[in-house]
Amino acid sequence: MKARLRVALMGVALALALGADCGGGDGSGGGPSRLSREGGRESGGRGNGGVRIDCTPLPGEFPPALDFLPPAFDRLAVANFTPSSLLAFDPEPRPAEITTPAPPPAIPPDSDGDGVADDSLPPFAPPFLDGVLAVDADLALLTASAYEEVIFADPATGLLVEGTVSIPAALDPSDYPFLPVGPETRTAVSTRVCLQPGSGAVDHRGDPVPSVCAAGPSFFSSFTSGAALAGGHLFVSMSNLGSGAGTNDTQYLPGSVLVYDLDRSSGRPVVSPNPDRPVIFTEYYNPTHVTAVTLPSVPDRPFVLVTSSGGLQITPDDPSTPELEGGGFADSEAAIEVIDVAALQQVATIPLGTVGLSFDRLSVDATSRVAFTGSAISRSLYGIDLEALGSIPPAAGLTMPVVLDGSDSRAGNVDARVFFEGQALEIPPRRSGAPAESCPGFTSGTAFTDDGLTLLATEFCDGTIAEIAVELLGAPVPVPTERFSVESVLNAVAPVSPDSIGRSQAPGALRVRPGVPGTDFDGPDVFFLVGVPEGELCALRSRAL
Amino acid sequence: MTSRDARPAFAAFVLAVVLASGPAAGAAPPARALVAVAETATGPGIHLLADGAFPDVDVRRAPGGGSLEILLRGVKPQVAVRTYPASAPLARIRLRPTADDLRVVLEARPGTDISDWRVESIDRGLLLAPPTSPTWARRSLAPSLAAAPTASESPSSRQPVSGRSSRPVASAQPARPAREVRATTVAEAAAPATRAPEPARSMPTHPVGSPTPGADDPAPGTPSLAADTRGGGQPLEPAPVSQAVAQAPAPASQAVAQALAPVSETPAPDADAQTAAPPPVARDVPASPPEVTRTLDPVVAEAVAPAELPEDPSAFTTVIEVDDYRGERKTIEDLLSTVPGVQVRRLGGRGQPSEVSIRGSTSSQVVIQLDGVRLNSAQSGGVDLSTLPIDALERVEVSRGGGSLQAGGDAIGGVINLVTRRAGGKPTTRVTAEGESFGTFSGSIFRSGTLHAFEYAAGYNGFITDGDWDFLRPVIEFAGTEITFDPPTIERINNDVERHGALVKVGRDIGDHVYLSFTNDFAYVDRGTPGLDSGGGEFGGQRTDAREERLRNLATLGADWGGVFGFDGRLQVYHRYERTQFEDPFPNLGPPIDTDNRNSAFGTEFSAHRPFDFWGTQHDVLLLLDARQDRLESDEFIDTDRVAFGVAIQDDIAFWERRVRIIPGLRFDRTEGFDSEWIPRVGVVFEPWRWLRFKGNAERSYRPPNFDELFFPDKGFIRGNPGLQPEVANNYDAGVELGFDRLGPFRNVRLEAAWFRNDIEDSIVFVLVSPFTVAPVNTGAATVEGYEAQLSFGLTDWARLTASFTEFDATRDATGTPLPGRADRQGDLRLELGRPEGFWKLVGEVHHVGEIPVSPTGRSVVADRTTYDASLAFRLSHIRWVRERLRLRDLIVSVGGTNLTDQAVRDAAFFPQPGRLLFIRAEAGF
Repeated sequence: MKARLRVALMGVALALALGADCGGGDGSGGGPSRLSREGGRESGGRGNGGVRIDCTPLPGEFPPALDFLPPAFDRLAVANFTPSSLLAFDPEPRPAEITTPAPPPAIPPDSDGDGVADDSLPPFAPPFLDGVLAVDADLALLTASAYEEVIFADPATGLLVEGTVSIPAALDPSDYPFLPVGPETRTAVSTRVCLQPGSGAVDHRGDPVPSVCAAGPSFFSSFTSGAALAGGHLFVSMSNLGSGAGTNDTQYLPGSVLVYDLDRSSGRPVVSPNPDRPVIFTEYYNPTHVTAVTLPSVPDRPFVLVTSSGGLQITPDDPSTPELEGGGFADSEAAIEVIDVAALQQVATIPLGTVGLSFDRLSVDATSRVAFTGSAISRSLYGIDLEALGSIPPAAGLTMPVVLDGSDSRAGNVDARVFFEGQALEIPPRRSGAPAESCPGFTSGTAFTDDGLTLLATEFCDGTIAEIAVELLGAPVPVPTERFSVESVLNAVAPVSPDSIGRSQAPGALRVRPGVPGTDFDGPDVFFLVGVPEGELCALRSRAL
Repeated sequence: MTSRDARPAFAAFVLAVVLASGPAAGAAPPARALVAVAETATGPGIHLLADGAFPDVDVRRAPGGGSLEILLRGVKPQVAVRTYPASAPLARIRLRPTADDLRVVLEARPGTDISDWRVESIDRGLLLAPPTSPTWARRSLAPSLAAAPTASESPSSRQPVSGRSSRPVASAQPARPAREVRATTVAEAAAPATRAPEPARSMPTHPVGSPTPGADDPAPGTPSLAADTRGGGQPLEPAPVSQAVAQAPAPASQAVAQALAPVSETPAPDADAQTAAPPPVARDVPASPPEVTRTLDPVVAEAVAPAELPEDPSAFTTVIEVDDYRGERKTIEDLLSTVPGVQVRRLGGRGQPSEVSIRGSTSSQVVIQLDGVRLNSAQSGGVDLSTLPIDALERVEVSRGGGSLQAGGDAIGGVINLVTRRAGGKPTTRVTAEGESFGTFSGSIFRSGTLHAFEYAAGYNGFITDGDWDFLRPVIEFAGTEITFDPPTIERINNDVERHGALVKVGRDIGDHVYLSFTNDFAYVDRGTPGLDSGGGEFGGQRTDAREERLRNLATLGADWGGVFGFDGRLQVYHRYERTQFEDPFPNLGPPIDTDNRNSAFGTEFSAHRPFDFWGTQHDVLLLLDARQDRLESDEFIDTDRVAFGVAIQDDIAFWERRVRIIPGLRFDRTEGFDSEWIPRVGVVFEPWRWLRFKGNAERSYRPPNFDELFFPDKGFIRGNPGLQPEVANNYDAGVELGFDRLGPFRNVRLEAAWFRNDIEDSIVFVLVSPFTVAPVNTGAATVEGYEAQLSFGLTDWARLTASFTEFDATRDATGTPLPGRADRQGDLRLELGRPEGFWKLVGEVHHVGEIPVSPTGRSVVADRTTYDASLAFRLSHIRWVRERLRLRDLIVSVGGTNLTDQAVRDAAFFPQPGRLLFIRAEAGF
């Protein structure tokens, strides 16, 4: 037995010696695996009331954002989720055609070009693109969570654009661990900043903010959620989620808006934190976007509106009921917070109640009279009257932001709220739409048509696009709610329901192409993104609604 | 005597011939060993073939002539044999061993009198025959043995006569009477047959077309689907025994020759008297006899002691003999993926999770059993194939189509039974070692034998891999362009695997009719879980720190019995324990994950069957009872448990000389928390000629939601759904089998083709239910319809080709969109060169997998692919020095590779698999 066992063991040794790392392949013999997504689709007819919708497949699910490239608006930049990339489309054909030269590149691991792979840092995740801000035909800014950056990209090619990044001497470099002290070439600017909200700062539950990166309450900013340009500054909203992100018990740390100076005079973006006010903390939690507005009545005083959605949680299922509960709920109040761009100071707050504002940037009508956004937890729209911002006193005289809810005498008791908690603009539910228990509503995207007469809103759960007629001419402040009426609801895609599996669902961000359809361009003017089961860029003509 | 004269009796030849070297170590050798039972060549009658004459025989004749009982003192049965010759006067033969004796009971068919049968002692056993039958003679026996293999092979059972096991004798799950019997090694045969009941009529994957040397060399065009025991079959052209003997492996030839040569030509003077003293044995049986395999049909009925449960003849079943792939690097996934109708979805390289689909099912719609005991976790529903060690397996039985009547819930797609290597027999040790690319090593040692009265088998298998292969990121085609990841090639990180497994089996006879056994299977896996590569960044979104530990232990206590009140049966009590620990300190979403789930199942399965005749029809009634309690303890779930039980009855009704068989059945099943289910089924077999068979089935099946689907902890973005209802399906299939021993230049041509359709109601799918949450819901009806085919034939006696193909549409009824994750077609081609058991074996394989939809719309697909594998094995034990000096019974060294053209392979969109892989392997037996 021993001899035979010895021989067997010799065989084992032989196999181990010869087989060890005997060289395998990387699968390159036949090229990479190809994941094919079928070409565009068109839907129309009875289900859509005869409205033709053309869709172009996207590489990944849940495309987060899209934006037209100024000044011609003849290109549409779409942020793709997986793989993280920026794609450009020609909006004229039906369906829209990609114009990014093949192959469009994915965001590389060292997205900012500092020599460090960005997913090698906590949370060790790929970049979650949240938004795209088309600056011009040559530059788009991509906000990326997880990497916590604003990435510079060429919207035409999807390639990263080099810029110059530095930390001003007036700032403590230790607060910007991923920015160079001296000017260096980068393809993104880090938004991972050590924030120190000051003593007594609390999270949305009222618990003290921990000390993470400095003495006293401090934490690194996180969840880069939106960007806006105004007055030569780049404003970046940071949601600052704490523990439990994506769960029923998410912690929201004090929200913030990072302020950078952006100089494009040299042709390349030169970005550095504003030395005077690099950070503006918001009063309300969970800033999910920033929107720049300039009022016709005060053209020399631009504002940045911060959408502070408030603490949002996912509704737990109630096991005692046969239905599957879902959706979300808000556990802190939402507001639109107003930053005076010149003063880099928050000057006003427009509280809207516990309404769970949606995550897209505010939609502003062509006359900059009203701004709207949806709700992440209901089939509702909320809006403010921008005319009220004209009542905000000069920043220099404000120690606290004025509250534009009609109660603050400093602003002449003006009320900027048009639709708010208890007075929402409700979108009618779809017949045979999403189950109310599991998907009660999520008004995911809003946009005004170019003529300002129509507000469009995508409803995630029901798969609809609501058409709301708007009459602003001569309206008092705030615009009476009667000036808004739901004209129609288009069943654009399938509702989120068990019966919809295999069908396009979950419309998201919505944009309207500037210009007059049929005059300035022949193609569709309403573009929206579809999230599942595959990402799609869909388009229709608003006048067909 | 002409072959025509002998035809009726020859065609019913029953058994395999196995000559033994004697009893296993540690056991006292019997005075005589009964090694075979055969119908006589000259007419109705039985020959008990032994390694000598029987010294002490008692004959008892029952009043009325219905039975004849022969007590053979000092005789041990060394082969489990049962005959059921439809045309003969015997209904069955029972072999009942006791501690020292063997009792042979011949039971006559109703209305037949066998009381006057004579009992002749001959130098090689005993002849039992009607008084009018011709004298037993050497010249009559020879043709019968020679003809038997040809006459009796079923289309799915043709196996090479070889020195190794090439046909399963049994499955561990209740089975209907198979029409194939295989002779095994003496050691194997000595074990009660009920431990391993017959598999269903099946088409083995590759060896089906293997030419059978020796007796299997019929004239061109000779159909050989099954032996014609109806007496009206086509004439056979039995090869002379010398041919059969000559072409068998040398030791086998010797054994057969020894068995046949000394047959006496002198009848006993008095058939009713106790036999005279036997003549001396002419030659000794070889010390280490080989196995000689014959597959026979129609036949069968009952075993030495414990009985086999009947197998369903209408089922579409494939049996994979693991040993047919010796010298090749095969995993369970590899073997399953070549079975028609079966798809394996690998979520990484070797050792990473993989799951199986049958006929378009989900993995949780396939019941996977180990020796008849289900492995499916009540928590996840499925079984991770990568945790199952192939080295401990003897064969894999794949039953395609609904199997809920016998297996209970979950068997919408089918049932896979993994049969472990058997215990007992001659002490044997097998050692394997393998090294392959990417720092991968595996090895196993397995020993079986008999110690005193206990039969045992024990083995260990281990596997480790670095799994650090590079892979290409996918290219995503869309909108007329494509998008690439940067960098295009990255390394699979956190992909190491360490696996250990152990199997212990112990069994022994308890009295005359019962075999008691205990089996324990243990598996432990520790591995990194890199997950998807769908992200960007240096690692492509792979998880750098996520790890999983799995532990599984299955303990089974079984009792098999035969001939108790006419019933053969089995009772198994089992306990299965599974522990899965998973941690990911840095998940992409949500807080750090650290979970510990402990699943256990305690259950019992009872099955019994009894054949009988009734009004000119033959019946075999099967009764099944099973119950189990599944329990989940977890630090994330609320502890939960549920009880499920079922009772089923099924009959196998054969008439028109067994040309037609109808198998109706009905099961009542209840799973706690859900309504009761009635599961009817009916199967039909029509066999107009012995080379052609039609069969079809209609069955209802269902799957209750698993614990994950029901109670997955509410993590916000994902949660379970306690309101789920079971999936219910109606399964239909129909097919044809064709078999020719010769067809033009081809040998052993076997073709099986089947159409199938599954109508699934209330299919459960994880879908988006809210803007932030994914949960399982009943999503309505889906239909899977397609066909599958398998063809095998021998080009020469050293070249065999096997091909299989499956194509189907799996769609949702409401939308017509495909069910994701299933390739719409799959084909495999295998060419094996080299004589069976020869010095060398060269194998080439081509695998084609069609487009795999990866989204519910079907608009996103993983492109089709074709990969190539090859291996070259040398049986060094053919070298005398190796065989004699090293005293190794077997030594095989092989090299080869898979995915030789280095294709980028994915079964799911973002789970890469390795490219070209090279291996070297050594197997030794002693």
